Amino acid sequence: MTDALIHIKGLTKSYSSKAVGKVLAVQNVDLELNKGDFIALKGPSGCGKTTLLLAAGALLSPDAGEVLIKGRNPYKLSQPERSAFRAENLGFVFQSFHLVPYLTVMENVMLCELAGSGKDIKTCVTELLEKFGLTKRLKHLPSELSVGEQQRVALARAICSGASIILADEPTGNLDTENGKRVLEYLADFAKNGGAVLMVTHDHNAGDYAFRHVDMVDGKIIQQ
Amino acid sequence: MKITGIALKEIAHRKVNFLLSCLSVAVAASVFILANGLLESTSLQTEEIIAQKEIETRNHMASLEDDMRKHMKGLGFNIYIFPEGQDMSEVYDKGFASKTMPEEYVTKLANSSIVMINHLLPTLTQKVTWPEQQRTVILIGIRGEVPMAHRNPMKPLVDPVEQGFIALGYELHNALKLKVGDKIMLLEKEFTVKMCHDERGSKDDITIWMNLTECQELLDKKGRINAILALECNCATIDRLAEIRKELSAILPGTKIIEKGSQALARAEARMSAKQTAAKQIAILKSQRDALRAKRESLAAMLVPFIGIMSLAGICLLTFINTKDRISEVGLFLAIGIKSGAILALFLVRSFIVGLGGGILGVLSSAFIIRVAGGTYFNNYTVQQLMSVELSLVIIIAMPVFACLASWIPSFWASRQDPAEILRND
Ligand SMILES: Nc1ncnc2c1ncn2[C@@H]1O[C@H](COP(=O)(O)OP(=O)(O)OP(=O)(O)O)[C@@H](O)[C@H]1O
Ligand SMILES: [Mg+2]
Repeated sequence: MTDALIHIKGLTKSYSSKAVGKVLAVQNVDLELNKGDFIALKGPSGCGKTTLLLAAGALLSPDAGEVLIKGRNPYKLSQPERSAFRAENLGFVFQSFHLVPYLTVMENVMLCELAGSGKDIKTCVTELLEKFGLTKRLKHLPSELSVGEQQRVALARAICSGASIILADEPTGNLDTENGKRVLEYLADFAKNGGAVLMVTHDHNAGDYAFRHVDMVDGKIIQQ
Repeated sequence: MKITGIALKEIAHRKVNFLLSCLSVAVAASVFILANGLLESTSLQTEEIIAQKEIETRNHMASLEDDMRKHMKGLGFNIYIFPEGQDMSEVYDKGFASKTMPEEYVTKLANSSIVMINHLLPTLTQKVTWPEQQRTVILIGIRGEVPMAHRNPMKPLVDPVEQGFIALGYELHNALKLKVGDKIMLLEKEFTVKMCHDERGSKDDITIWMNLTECQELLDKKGRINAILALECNCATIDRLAEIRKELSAILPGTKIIEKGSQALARAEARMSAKQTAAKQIAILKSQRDALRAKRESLAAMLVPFIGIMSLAGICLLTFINTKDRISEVGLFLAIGIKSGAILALFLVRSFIVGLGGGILGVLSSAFIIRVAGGTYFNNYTVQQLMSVELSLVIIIAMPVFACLASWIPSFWASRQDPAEILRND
């Protein structure tokens, strides 16, 4: 069939709220994320980007269509199996960094140990944090870091688990241009080294780093 | 990274919630311990009063006994000596013996070196019908005192009745309208009334006293008597009857001896009744204690569950606030693949620590309260008396379980959150 890391076919997802009734967030979307890909997903607010990202990340079960990650449909797995599957294959980065406020930089990155297979990631983490320029911040709490540093910690956490796919939702949204560029560089680097990145973004600079651009409007992909 | 480690760091981060939760547990623990202490102090105090009362009673009894011993030494008591082979139940039933013994027994006794008996009165008693008057009477022949050979003669205690005379009980002289000096026929013999006794309300009222020799002739029992009354006996020991029996059995083997009512007996009775009164007081005290305890227990039975439920609700609410605070953390945990069970464990470990901390705090603060307010509320008992180590341990072990139960629902709720829902609202 295909050796795409993520293969989305005819994905449709709608929400139903009491106030507005049924909202079609994503309609019949096809998308492939291959090894070495760095996709920038763009579109106006409310067009369904986050919904698509969550569905692609085994976090949101679609109404119709199929999501295959490394050839497997995560929504056919049980809850605990799907958790383990996510821990093994996917890394997430969000606009607000979701760092645990009472854990140090090192501990935040090491969190994936709790979910992981139990393999030793300490050396990998140390190297990664060095690469992200965080070596001097290992014992700091998130509140003691700059926002750029915080996002780099989140990025390190997404990568260190050994995942080959990173799903990022506006990772540079809270960062200044300089810090944003650094994050984009790291993501591009990750893709070049055999990973794959699907990133939702409004960042103008994203164009300089992403290898592919996908535009969405009203829940549909209009240009690949 | 261990779950316990994360829980401890979270606790250090959100101190206020943790302290409030601990406080909630501590209040429940303290209420339980203090209610228990209150009950315990009441029990202990009553127990002490009862013990005190028992000691007092025992001392009082001992002093009474001592008193009695002293009194009895100087106090004469009276005994009856009955013939050998006499069935004593018959004596208790009829008031006199059916068997007889030789009158010389008295002389034998009087001539012996017996020191304990001061006066000896031989009697012959029998129930007879007074044929001339058609009524049943008790006939008693008395001889008066037999002088003790080895002692100076003493003033006789009972006046003997001379031959040809009789003394009458109240019922007899009253019914027959007889007075001193009247003559009357009895068993075909004429007697002069020598004395009319006042009403005594006993068998004495239907009794006729006459000279012993004359009585023996009338009843055809020459030289025989059926009782010897020994008056004003004295003994050194308390067990006086045994002592007298021992002496008498050597002189008059086979005779039976009983004690006649005496002042000493009355004293012994008073002593008995004092003992009973004290026992009654103790019983009242005990029942008062039980009533008070029941009252306090029923109060505790209401108060403890009430505070328990309030504390349960408090912990539940505080845990819920904690999970709300950490909802984005939970979303992330779930997204990166940490399982629901681990997240539930994370919250429950926190609750366990809350329970442990609260339990220890509760035990310590209870001890402190008992120490400080012991005089006012706990009858001055010490912490050691009112709070057993076992109880404290049980509290410290039970409170973590209690806290885990209380926080189960919000913890479970948190662990079952949909990460997509949380992360989308980012
Ligand atoms: N729980 C929900 N209930 C009802 N409608 C929802 C719910 N979540 C999202 N939607 C709607 O679904 C649509 C897609 O939402 P989504 O969050 O995917 O948009 P987005 O493209 O990520 O927007 P933004 O750029 O602002 O983040 C929106 O119109 C939104 O209002
Ligand atoms: Mg979005």
